[in-house]
Amino acid sequence: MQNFWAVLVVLPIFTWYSMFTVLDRNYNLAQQDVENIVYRYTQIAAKKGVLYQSVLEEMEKQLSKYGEYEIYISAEKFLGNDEPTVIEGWDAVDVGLRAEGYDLLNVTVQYNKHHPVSILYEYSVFGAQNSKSYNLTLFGKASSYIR
Amino acid sequence: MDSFWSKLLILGIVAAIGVFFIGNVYAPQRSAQEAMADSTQQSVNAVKMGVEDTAPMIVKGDAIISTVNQYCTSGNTVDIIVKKSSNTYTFTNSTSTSSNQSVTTIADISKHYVRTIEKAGTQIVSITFVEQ
Repeated sequence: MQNFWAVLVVLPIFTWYSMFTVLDRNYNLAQQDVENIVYRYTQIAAKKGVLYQSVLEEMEKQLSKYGEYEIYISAEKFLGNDEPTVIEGWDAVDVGLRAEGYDLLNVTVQYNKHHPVSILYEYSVFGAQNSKSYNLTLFGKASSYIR
Repeated sequence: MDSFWSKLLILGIVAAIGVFFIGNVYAPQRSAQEAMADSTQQSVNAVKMGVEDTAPMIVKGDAIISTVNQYCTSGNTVDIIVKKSSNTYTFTNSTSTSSNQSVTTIADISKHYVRTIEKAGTQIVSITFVEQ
């Protein structure tokens, strides 16, 4: 009976810390991976001066392992005015960005689902709720000069 | 008497371990956890703020299905519009169009769509997906 009570106290604490360690590590690794993928393909597109649809699809293939996401693409052209000329979305795909004088390519990826680590960030091991709520999602952002 | 002192000793040890746990594991871990969560949330917010809500986002067809499933229930006022070549499909209160075409047959998960959100003030009026 003494063992039962000891286990009842220790087991939830052990489970909570194990889950926290695993989920926190999972979030950080996945986040790093997403950032690397976005950075790598933005560099490729900027170097080529075109974001080909095939390159976008290859990037998406790698991003899809973490769930549903959305991509924001924009290219900026600086002509000495206060506001740069910007093209967004599909208008920046399969277009000769270098040939058209665009200077900067930006790619942002946002995942739609909240990562489960958000819940563990909100509660302590004893169930006490944090004063703030967290909505952590995976994301990646990269900008590159079109060389 | 022996049993009394041994129980007292065990109680003392357990209490000391408890205090040690709270002071050296629980409290620092909790503040570190809060700092990590704050810093990550700030990064997420910074990225989200960099892209306007109404900016054109590139998504795959499965995003249409999840958006329609999320919004299109009875009482919904947000129109989900899907434009494919010359056809336009609208979903409002149901996951099927008025001509009984289901979203799963209309949305092609292998295709790209550009999603734009139309707002009136802070309220979403419609979400449009245009097939590319």
